[in-house]
Order: sequence, then structure tokens, then C-alpha cells
Amino acid sequence: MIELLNVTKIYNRGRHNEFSAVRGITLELIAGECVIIKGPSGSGKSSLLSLIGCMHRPTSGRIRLHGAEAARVVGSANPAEPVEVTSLPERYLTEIRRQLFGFIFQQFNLVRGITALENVMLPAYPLGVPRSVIRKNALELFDSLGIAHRATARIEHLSGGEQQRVAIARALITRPTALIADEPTAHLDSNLSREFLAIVEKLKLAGTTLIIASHDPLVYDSPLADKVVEVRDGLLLSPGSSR
Amino acid sequence: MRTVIESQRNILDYALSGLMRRRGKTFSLILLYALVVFVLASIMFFTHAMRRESELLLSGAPELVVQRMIAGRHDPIPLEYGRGIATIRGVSRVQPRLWGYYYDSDIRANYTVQTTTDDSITRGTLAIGAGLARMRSLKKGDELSIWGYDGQPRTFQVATIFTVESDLLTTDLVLTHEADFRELFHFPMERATDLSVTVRNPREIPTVAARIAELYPDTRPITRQDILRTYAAVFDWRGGILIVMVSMALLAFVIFAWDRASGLSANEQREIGILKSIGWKTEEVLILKLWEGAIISLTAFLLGLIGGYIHVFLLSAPLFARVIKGWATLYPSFRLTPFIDYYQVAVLFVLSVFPYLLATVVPSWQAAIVDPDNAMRGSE
Amino acid sequence: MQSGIIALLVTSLGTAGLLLYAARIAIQTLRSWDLGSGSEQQLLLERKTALVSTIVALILGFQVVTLALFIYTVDALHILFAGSMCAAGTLNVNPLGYPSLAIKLLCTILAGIWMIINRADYLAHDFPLIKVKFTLLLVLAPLSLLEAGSLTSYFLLLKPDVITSCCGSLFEGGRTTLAGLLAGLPPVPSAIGYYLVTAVTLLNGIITWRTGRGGLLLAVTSLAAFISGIAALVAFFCLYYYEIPTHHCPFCLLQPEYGRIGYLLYALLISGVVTGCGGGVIHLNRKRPSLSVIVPKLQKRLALWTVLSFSLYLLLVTIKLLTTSFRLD
Ligand SMILES: Nc1ncnc2c1ncn2[C@@H]1O[C@H](COP(=O)(O)OP(=O)(O)OP(=O)(O)O)[C@@H](O)[C@H]1O
Ligand SMILES: [Mg+2]
Repeated sequence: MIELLNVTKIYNRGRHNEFSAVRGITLELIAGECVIIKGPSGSGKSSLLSLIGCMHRPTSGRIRLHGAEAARVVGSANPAEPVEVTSLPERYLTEIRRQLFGFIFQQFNLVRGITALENVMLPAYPLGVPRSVIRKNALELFDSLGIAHRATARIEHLSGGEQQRVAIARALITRPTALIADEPTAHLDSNLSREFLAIVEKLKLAGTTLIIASHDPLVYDSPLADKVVEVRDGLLLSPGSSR
Repeated sequence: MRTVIESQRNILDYALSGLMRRRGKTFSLILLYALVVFVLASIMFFTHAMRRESELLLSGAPELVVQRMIAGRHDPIPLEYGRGIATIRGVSRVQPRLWGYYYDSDIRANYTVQTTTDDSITRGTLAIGAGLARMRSLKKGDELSIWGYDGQPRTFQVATIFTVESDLLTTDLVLTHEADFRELFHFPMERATDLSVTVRNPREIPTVAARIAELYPDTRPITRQDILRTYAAVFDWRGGILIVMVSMALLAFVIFAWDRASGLSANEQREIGILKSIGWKTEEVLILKLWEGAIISLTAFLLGLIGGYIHVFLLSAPLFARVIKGWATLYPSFRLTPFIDYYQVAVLFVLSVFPYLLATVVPSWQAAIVDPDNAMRGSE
Repeated sequence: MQSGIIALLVTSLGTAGLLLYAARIAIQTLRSWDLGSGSEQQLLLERKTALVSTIVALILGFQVVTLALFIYTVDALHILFAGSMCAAGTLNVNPLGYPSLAIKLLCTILAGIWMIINRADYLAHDFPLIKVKFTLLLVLAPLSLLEAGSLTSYFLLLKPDVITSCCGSLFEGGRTTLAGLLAGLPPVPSAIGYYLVTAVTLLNGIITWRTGRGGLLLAVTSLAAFISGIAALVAFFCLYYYEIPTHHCPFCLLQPEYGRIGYLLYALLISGVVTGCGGGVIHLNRKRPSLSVIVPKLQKRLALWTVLSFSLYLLLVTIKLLTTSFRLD
């Protein structure tokens, strides 16, 4: 569903602290697959994920999205034609992002001071769904993730594992077709990591595309992975060793 | 359309909950803002109500008054002038008026003394305004001494105490019998303070006034329109100066608001970064910020408006009545008739809400353009 | 009243300031716009377009409110000036009154049209109208500065006790001024002219609304309907409101004696001309690929607004014409 052609990302271009985080990656991600991106710290995994997830535009190269959904978002006349993300205005990137992707961030990125429930509801607010409906969906997610009893607790009162599951629930509230997870097990012990993989398995069975960056062997050696790619210094090392 | 409304509602809800979370900051901002609006509202209501009171009063005043001038000063006018004026075409009636001021050293206040043709005021009796009655604690039937031109006091009986729709200018009024008035002040016979002229067709007033000035070059005809204009100018001028001063305060506040809005706390910045990363568009965050601004300024506006109303109409504007009224001894507890029109509310709205919105639009935008991938990098 | 003047001045100065700021962004954008580039500068420029839209939207709101406030204020001020009976006299006190009103009106209409262009631009994915709308902004900003200047000088030069003319003499046929010209139009023919022009406009509007065609023509006809609406109001319809065969003042209609009906009538005319002309401007750009779906849809909606505005106006004046006992002979 996503195609990257020789994509680069240079931060702070033209300034003294210019940094090339992604240096020409070509990659195709297929709908329904589970892809693991591994590599050492600082190799550019997070940068690659944010390009895939339409967080920002690449410095050069092209990113294309296949599928009717992306075509509908930009109002394209021909749904069979892939959508060229590269030059879309920011608000379209955002629109695509929230229609297609759910994100689990390395640091969870939950808003402090509000309840777990409201955190999960947040991504759906601008979509124009009535609040009561969002609330119902969120509570269902809390149920299925086994944290229903913590729904009305404030974020800062939750344990790491609970926060993780709140972050998962938030990523799923908009019913994304693809889930992007950045180091999802970095803050978890091995028990919780296994629990996470169980959730991933369920999602995969439901047909969700999974894109996970991780340097945790438990994740990249897991049988769930359809494809493991390795990134080093902004370049692809093993071009998709499929199993 | 439905989805637009729903998403706006959701964003508004979230704006409210955000403001409540930052309670301390929100309420201090609203309080300061409301204070500025309050002062502004008080001044506007007050000057406006004062002006309306005087207009109300003047609506009962004669359409045309003729004074005699000697060496540029007002002097009693001979009654024969009146007989002459009565013959001008269009004039239906000429009435001599006798009035003046009397200084009461006991309570250090000026009364306006005027004669009346009302039958209930016979020789030796008076009618007085409610303010005066209160100051001297007089009831109907009590006696009041007034010092004459010769330094001898005359004693009068209070026949009536009147209160009328507007008590701004009648509160210090004393009505006497004509003969008493002339005796008390040694006012020359065959003279009057001025003449009140009634003209059959109001459109002819300017013509009649011109004709009078022509016949009697030593007189000055004054039309009610002239007086209304002067009043309007005076009250507006006094109020205008205050409003300029308060506008300065408003300006200071706006700068403060701009400063507040542009200096986001680290927490707020982080929150916006998260919103952006989970799929809020720049426009939506901007709308969130604008909703916050709208809530703050509308709340402050309403609070200030209600506060100003209570201050002026229920408490009689204790904070600055003296500044505007000037001669205030007789008015400590006098009440203005509550009167507000949409225009004043609209002006107050424009004056207090618009500058705030103008000042916060750019900082709000700056807050809204935080990069979404800030969250990706996890800047904790 | 003083407070109203201060409110107007504060708002117009603030508006002008903000619009100049927006114009600076517009110049930057026109200079270095490059959609293909993924540079941070381009990203910032794109983000700034959101700021500019918000600024103009805010200012359009301000303009609508302050236009009404301005008219109300000068109307209320008339008691300060000997010889004047309504806003017409106050505006005539010094030579800046009428130009101020005209500029303010123009600014409001332009801001409305700008918002329509902006809407079309926003709906498309490749900023097709960015040049058009930012060029228009470069017209709007100086105009708004001019408005602030002229408004300020008008109010500062407003000396009480000036003897001015009342509307009865300003709007009197036979004078060579615009007001005199309007008032001097023969009442019945100008009414007939108005009905003809409006009928054509409404027909045009309905066609555009149903089929999406004739959008450009609608810009022209709605402008004509706007002008003939005002002309016929001054020359003919107002006589029925005042029930005086010689009183042609367009401002007395704003007074409470006539239910302040003027505010509604003028608002309808303005809304009609803004939606009509705005539709025409975007019609010129309908050929661009990214707009080919968006423009016709938006245009139909706008045409509906044009039709609604002008037909409500027509209904109001016609009802007055038929229900009042006053007859022109
Ligand atoms: N916005 C930015 N500005 C400047 N440099 C950046 C920015 N984002 C990332 N970098 C740099 O790009 C490089 C790659 O970062 P990235 O976060 O993609 O690595 P990563 O593989 O996810 O590392 P980790 O495993 O530690 O999360 C790092 O050296 C980082 O410092
Ligand atoms: Mg990372």
C-alpha cells in the first residue's frame, strides 16, 4: 500500500547543524503485512517511520500511497491511481495520516492532566464524530485491552504497562488500516512485551497492516514478522528479507 | 455540515476542559480582562445615562428662550420685549420666567430657585426637590429659612416635595411664588430672567429666532436644539477623555494578553505537539486556540458588562461619579434610571473583544504550527 | 458616541495593521513560492497561508460589524450638527465622510470575495489560487490602510456646530452630485429598470445554481442588480417607506422610525453582490485540473445565495410597495 522511492530526509537543511537522517531508501510495504524495521539507535528508524506515516514530507524522492482511501482523501478522480504524497500540503498529509494510520510513539506521548479515556478520544475529536460515539468506541477498546478499570484515571497515575495500552487504544480509536509503532517494547519488561505481541497478532489477524521499528530481538525474531528490514546510518542494509 | 458542527463541538469541549485544567492562569487572565471591561462599561453607561437624563429633562424645557445681554452678560429682560415678541408671526405665546441660584452655606450647596404658576404654591410656601429635602431632613409642612438680599431670613413652609422621572437636575430645585421671588431677591419689577417663547410650527423656530435677534439686537435667542447639542458635547467630552484613558489601559492589557498567548508553557507546547502528531491539523489547533480566546474574552466581557451595570445603576457609580458630575454635594444617593441600548453593548463589545482577538491571532497560529514529528522524537 | 468613534478607530487601525502584516506574508509567498520543493521555507509559507486565511476571516467579521457600527454612529451623531437629520448630514460635515463610507463598503465586499477565493483554494490540494488570492490581498491591505486614515481624519475633523445640509437637500433631484443624480432619477422608470435587471439576475442565478453554467455572467448581473437595487431604493422605493413624495434619503431608512429596515436591505444587497462576484472570480479558474470538481460545486452553492439574497430584497421592497397606502401620482 505504501511505496518509497529513493527517499531522503535532511534535517535543518542549509544550516550548520544539517543532518541527513534518511539517505535514499526504496521500500514497498504491502497491505496486511507485518514489517519490522530494526537497526541501532540513531540509525534513522523513527525518521523513516514518520516519512511512511506522512508526518512530514521527504526532502527528496517520492512516496506513493495505493488504495481507494488515500485517493478519496485528496479528492482524486481516479481511485486506481496512486496518490503522490511528496508534494501534498500539510493538511492533506494530516488528513491521510488520520484516516489511514494509527501511531504508537516511542515515549507514548500521552497528554498529562487529563484522563486515560480522554487521551484515547482525542484523535477522533476533529473528525466530526459525536462525542458519545467516540466515548463508546473508546470504552470498548479499554475493555478489549483489559484496562477498563483505569479509564477515568489520570495518565500520570498509570503504570508503564497501562500507559502503553492506553497508547495502543489511542492508535486504534480511528480504526486505522495501518498501525505504526516506534520501539513499542522499549519500556516494557519481557512479560508485558509478550502481551504486546499478542495484541499485535490479533490486529494482524483482523487485517491491519503493521509497521514496527524495534531493536528488541523478542520483536524482530517473532514469527509474526512477514518482513524484517535493517537500517543503518540512514540506509537500508538488507532489502527486505521476507520469510 | 453535521460533521463540521460535531467537530467544532468536540474542539470547543476540549478547549473548555483545557482552560479548566489551567485554572489559575485562566482565571487571573479573565479577572484582569473583566476589570478593564468593567471600568469601560461603567464610564459608558454612566455618561450615557447622564446625558439621557438631561435630555429627558430638556424635553420639557421651552423650545425657544430669549435672554437679554448687556455687555455680553446675561441681564434681566424687560417684559415689554415679550409683548413685542408676541406680535411676531408664528409666535403663539410668550411667558416671562423668573429663576436663579441660591447658595445655602449650611449644607454648602447651590439650589436652583424658580417661580411657578402652579396654584398649590401660594405666598409663603415652597415646593422642593427630593435631594434637598433629604439633605435638610425636611418633611412636608416643615419650615425652611432662606436669606434674602438684605441679609434677613424669610421663613417658608414646604408645601410639596417632588420626585420626577429624572431626578438629576430637579433634585436641587426650589419652586416659589412669583411675588416671594421678587421680594426675596429684590428682583426689579417689569423684568424677568428670560422669556420662554412658544412657536406654533416647530419648523419656524429658526426663523422666529432670527426675527427676534433682528428686532431686539441686545437679546440672545436660544433654541432647545442648541442646548441639547451643548449637553451632548459636554457629557461626551467628559466621557471621551475617560474612555481614552481607559483605552490606554486596554492597550496595556492587550499587550499583556499577546505576551501571555505567545509565551506558551512547556506543558502546553508538548500538548499541542501531541495533538498535531495524533492527527490534528494546524487549522484545528488554531481553532482550538481561537475558541480558548473567544471563551476568555466573552466571559470577561459579560462579567465586566454585568459588573458595570450593577456599579452604575444599582450602586450609583460610587467610583467616579464625582469626576463626571463635578458638582456633587446634593447627589450622594441619587440613582440613574437603568438604561442601556444595544448600541452601547455593541460598542463595548467591539472595544473590548476585538482588540483581544487581534492581539492573539498571530501567537495562536505560532502555537499551532508545532511540528508533529516533535512527538516522534519523544522530547520528554 | 465618543466611545463608538474610539471603537471604530481602534478597530480600523488594528485591522489595517494586521492586514499589512498579512500583505508582507503575501509578498514573501508570491516571491518564493515553490510547491514542488520540500524545503522548510516552503513548508513555513504553506503554514502561513493558514494564518492569512484566519486573519482575513477575522477581519471580514470585524468589517461587517464595524460597517453597521459606523453607519449607526454617524446616524446618531446627527444631533450635533445643525441642519442634519440623519447620517447623510453627518457624513457631509466634511469631505471625508462619504469616501470613508465608500472605502469601508469596498473593503467589506473585497474581504468577502477574498474568503470565497480562499475557500476554493483550500478545498483543492495544490494551492491553485494562491497567486490570485495573495494578489488580491495586496489590494485589500492598502485599501484598509486608506480606510483607517480616512476614518481617523474624518472623525478628527468632525467639528460640532458646523452647519451641514440635511438629507432632504443632499438627495434632491437636479443636483450634479452622485446623490442628486440618484435622487433625480425618474422614479417609475428606475423601478422598472430595477425589476428587469433583478429578473435577469435571478434567472441567471437559478440557471447557474441548477446547471453550473453562466457563472461569469452572474458576476456582471449581480453587480448590476446591486447598483440598480441601490438606485431604485433611492429613487423610488424609499418614497414608499417614508410616504413623502420628495424624500429620497438612503440613510433615514436606518432610523428606528422605519424599523431600521435599511440595515437588512443593505445587508441583502451586499451578500448578493459578494456571492455573485465571488462566484465569477472562481469561475475564471475552473479549468485548472484540481479545481474542476470543486469550483462548479462551490459555484452552485454561491449562486443559490445570490438568488436568495436578491429575491428576499425584491420581496421586501415589493411587499412595502403593495401594502402601504401611499401612492405616487
Ligand atoms: N528534527 C530533527 N532535527 C535534527 N536532527 C534530527 C531530527 N530528528 C532526528 N534527528 C537525527 O537523526 C538521526 C536519526 O534519528 P532517528 O530518531 O530517526 O533514529 P532512531 O533510529 O529512531 O534512533 P532510536 O533507536 O534511538 O530511536 C539521529 O541522529 C537524530 O539526532
Ligand atoms: Mg527512534
